[in-house]
Amino acid sequence: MYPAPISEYFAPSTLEECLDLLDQYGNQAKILAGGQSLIPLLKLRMADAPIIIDINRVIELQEFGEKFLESGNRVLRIGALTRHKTLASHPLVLSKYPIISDAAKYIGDVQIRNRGTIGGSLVHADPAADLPVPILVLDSTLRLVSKDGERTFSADEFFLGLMMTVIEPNEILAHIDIPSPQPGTGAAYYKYSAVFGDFAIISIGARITLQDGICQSSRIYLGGVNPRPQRAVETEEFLNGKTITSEILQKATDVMVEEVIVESDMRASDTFRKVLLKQYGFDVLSKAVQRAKEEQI
Amino acid sequence: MHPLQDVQKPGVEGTKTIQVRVNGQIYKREVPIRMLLVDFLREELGLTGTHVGCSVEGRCGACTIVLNGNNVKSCLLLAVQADGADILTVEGLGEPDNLHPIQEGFWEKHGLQCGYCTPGMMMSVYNLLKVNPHPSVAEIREALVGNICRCTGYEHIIEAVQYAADRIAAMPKEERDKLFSY
Repeated sequence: MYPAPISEYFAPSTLEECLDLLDQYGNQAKILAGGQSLIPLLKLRMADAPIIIDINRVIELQEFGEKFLESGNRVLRIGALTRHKTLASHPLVLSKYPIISDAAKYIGDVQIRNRGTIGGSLVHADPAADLPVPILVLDSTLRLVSKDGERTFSADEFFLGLMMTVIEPNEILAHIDIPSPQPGTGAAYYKYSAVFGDFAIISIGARITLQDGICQSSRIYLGGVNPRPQRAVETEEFLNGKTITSEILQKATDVMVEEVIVESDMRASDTFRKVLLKQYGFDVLSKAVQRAKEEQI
Repeated sequence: MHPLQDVQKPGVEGTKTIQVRVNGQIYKREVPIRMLLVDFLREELGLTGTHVGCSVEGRCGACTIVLNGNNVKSCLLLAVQADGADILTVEGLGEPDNLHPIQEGFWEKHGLQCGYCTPGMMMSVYNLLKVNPHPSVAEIREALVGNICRCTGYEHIIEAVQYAADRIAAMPKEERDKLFSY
């Protein structure tokens, strides 16, 4: 099956060139990164791209590693072109940010992870995608650039709804910054899908900061249940300030099941999603607590 | 309206000249921008060993090739994206009278029935054995999640991979490296 005719194809090698092209063609152009969602959408005529801007050669979008910002804060910087394969297997991710590899290693299959990028996944904003949840859980910031300048958003501000983000037609996502966690912080992610590597029927991400066994702060998001990942605020409030025991985590899971609004769709009913949440919510919270003791987010 | 239903009228057909190296041979062709890499390999170069299965969303893996050292689905790439790339397809794996150990494994262990998924399957196995010479059964299964077979039930495919891994492990290092030069 072919995409509809495409009249122009550009493969810029610098960000500046890329921004010039976006400025010139804006609405008519589609940015092609990994192409694992865009190409099927073009074939199905669900997306239309008279002009393709292939960013795979843009060096500035390929940054990956820990760095210090001018503020003196240390972040993990992930360039938008970073492939899922890197996120699933990079030693830095595995040792210090395992929540990201939790999510990345079950995206699609090997071939998809070899091509797919974090920038593509976040900008595409599929509600059942894997990477938005950990990016939200880690309070990341996203840097958008255009010829007019730069804009920075928290992950929570970035996602608007079903496949909708704040990004403008002349903008591109340059990188994601993940802040260094407080001491005693752990995080975990789990996805339930019908078939290995498929989109999430439900996904859960949690981050918990412990001091002397007491929860100082927490962040919980659920994916696959709503048009955009949903934050479980009441569950966070329930956990904050409590001494963490298995019993408390069980009760927190009940709060989560009660609080979260889940929808039925062709993949699963709301009832089934609640059953899954009760089953796996506790596991994710427990794993986050266990990792907090090992300082792994 | 659902944002994905916002279908607009198609653009004008554009073309671009690309140069690629496939199985060691350099090809230069002018192609429509919308041409998929799998169709370029099959229709333009006549390399029909790379198959088209699902044809839409890249679920079946029959079109898997090795592009610049990574196994990818050639139905999810435009041919123009491969400009300057180094590609290995099943035709470059071995010769009928000199099979690659991966092909030999599928032959010896009967790792196929209809054979439609086999070329893609073997390209994924190529990438697996290149980085992991002694994969466990679980690792083999994970490596083949993106390649669907509707005949075998996968059991013989796994035996084929194990056969190939054993054959390759028994070779001197020089010969092994030659087998995985992509």
